[in-house]
Amino acid sequence: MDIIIQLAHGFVSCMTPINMAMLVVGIVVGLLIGVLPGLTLVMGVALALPFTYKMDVTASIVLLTAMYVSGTYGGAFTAILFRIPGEPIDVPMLWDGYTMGRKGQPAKALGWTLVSALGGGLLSAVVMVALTEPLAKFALRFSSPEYFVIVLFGLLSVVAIGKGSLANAFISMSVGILISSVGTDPIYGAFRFTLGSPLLADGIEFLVVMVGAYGVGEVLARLETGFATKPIAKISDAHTELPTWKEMGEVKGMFFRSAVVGDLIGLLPGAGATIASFVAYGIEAKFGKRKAEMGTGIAEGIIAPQAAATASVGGALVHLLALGIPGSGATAVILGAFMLHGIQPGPQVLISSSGMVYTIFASLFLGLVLMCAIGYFAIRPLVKILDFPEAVVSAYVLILCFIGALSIRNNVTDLWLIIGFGVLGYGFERMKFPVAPLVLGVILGPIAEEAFMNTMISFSNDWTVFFTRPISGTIVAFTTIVLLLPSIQRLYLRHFASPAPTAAR
Amino acid sequence: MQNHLVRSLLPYVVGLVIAITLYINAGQFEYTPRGDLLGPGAWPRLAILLMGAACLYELGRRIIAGNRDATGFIEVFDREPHTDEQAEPVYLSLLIGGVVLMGVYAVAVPYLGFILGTFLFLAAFMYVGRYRDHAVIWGASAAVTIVCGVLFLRIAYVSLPRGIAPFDKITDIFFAIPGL
Repeated sequence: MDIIIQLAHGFVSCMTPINMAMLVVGIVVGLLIGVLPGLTLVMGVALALPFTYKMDVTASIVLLTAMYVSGTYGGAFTAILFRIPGEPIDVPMLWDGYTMGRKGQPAKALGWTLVSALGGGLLSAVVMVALTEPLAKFALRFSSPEYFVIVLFGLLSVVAIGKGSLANAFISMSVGILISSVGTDPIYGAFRFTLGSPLLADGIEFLVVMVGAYGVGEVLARLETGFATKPIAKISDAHTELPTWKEMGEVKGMFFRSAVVGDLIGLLPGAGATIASFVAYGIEAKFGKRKAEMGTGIAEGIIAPQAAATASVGGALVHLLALGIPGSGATAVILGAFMLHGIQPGPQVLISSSGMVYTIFASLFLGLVLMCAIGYFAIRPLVKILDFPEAVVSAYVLILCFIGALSIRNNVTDLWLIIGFGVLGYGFERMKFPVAPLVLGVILGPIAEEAFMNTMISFSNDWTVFFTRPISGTIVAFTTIVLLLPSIQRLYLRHFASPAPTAAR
Repeated sequence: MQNHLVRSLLPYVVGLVIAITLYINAGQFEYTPRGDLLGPGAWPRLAILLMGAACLYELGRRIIAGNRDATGFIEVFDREPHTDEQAEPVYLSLLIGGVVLMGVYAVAVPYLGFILGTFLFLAAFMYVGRYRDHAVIWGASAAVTIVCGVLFLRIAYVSLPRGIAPFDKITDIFFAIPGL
């Protein structure tokens, strides 16, 4: 009951003009980012981060969360209409969404996307409200060993559940942790890797790494191809046709299954919307009622990835708010926004700033409804943004990155750093080293170090404490399971699974 | 084939060399020890060890497994047929041009000021990006510069470089324009 009252207060607080303005701006910008193939969801959220410096913390989190949630939806428009996935999340949307569009039902495909995003998002928002407070209360029992292993869990799950080589992800994470250790050591005041520079003695701002690696790095990756996005066909009547209640009733079971899968994946630190989208589609293709027809343009192939992707947002916000552990690149940026305002999310936030937390919860509910309304009525102007030449959009993105760098300490050195991290991000992408573990390493590195050093001080350098205490031991066991997931998956596929049929096109 | 293998091993060899160098460096931080507490190098050294171990593992794996790229958890769910990534043309000159241009911006912006520097950078970057509609290039550069200038210099009061004489006059003129 208390939760419902607090949520009601959250709705009232969310409806202040500034919060509503941020909500609308966040949704529109998130949808545009989703539509534009050159801009990714995390990059967009990272680009907005420097501009939240002077904003109220609640308004800034409302803005970033709105961008995050609508970014999981906007890319579906271009995937269905033009076969351009605006985001990696939207790749599964090509298999059935685009195919349904080619069969002459693009409006219907867009309708299924809207309903799935709204339903999946609302379901996950309810789960988020229900789970955050109990989890935060449980987390109050945590001491430094537990906190260290939970941060480690977050870091290692990003490494384990991703794309490409596990070793590359480990290297990327290590580089991130090393970058975060540059500067003055918090216990001894010793200078670490500062090269004698007074500016480096202050450390490297995570914002510089984040905006550089995601923003500048991705623009460089696009520039290298000569901004070669194929010209799109003109769509004269892009609109959304909602499915009937009867049609929705026929797929309610699989919708619920996909949304739950998305929510559970979101709850796992490290696994974001992209993984949710792929896994939900994979489950439907493997075990669904119409598994043989997946890839031929059926509603199930649209509902599964979209419901799961949007549902993952609520799940990801649970451990961000309750434990202070970001589960994905986007939530890492949102954690960064909290930290810019001197707030460390975690169990204490629900006690000290419950009003803010419930306003963020309410903004997710309102944001989902607004997102679908804007998506329904403004689809044509939204996809019109694809008419902008990529070179123009990229130049603008770079300027936003530079302004972000210059506004941190008013120092041109940060501009050089952002360019340097942009080149590093580009190099990582080119050599197939994932960027997300790098960014998470930079953000979580200092938190992990503090918890690790406190544990070593409190327990006289006894590292076995991480395994012998019940809660931390259990989390270590979970971490080991997550780390072994790719191997378990490989073993399963080798012994039990037949090769998946390729989608019809 | 041999060249391809060497090329793919190179990042891990470089990573290993960096790890060794940093490990040595982390042992040389100056500090006053406190009892048997771990020193300031302990935490970075853990990260360096992890990095070195990952580099060694990947080197070994590539040599033994014949340079095959490892696949992660998510690829199993991917049903998109993968085309040869090299099929998309790569323009190294554009990339270098872009990086050099950003470097020039970083050097020039304290002198030219944010307004003039940004305007010139935007136009130059679009040309580097092989866009050739001159009217759009100069128009968009001017529009974006004005929007950013108004938003960040006049509304948000972000402290951006004003430039040195005579270029600071442009910033002054920008601040003096009524209605902006």
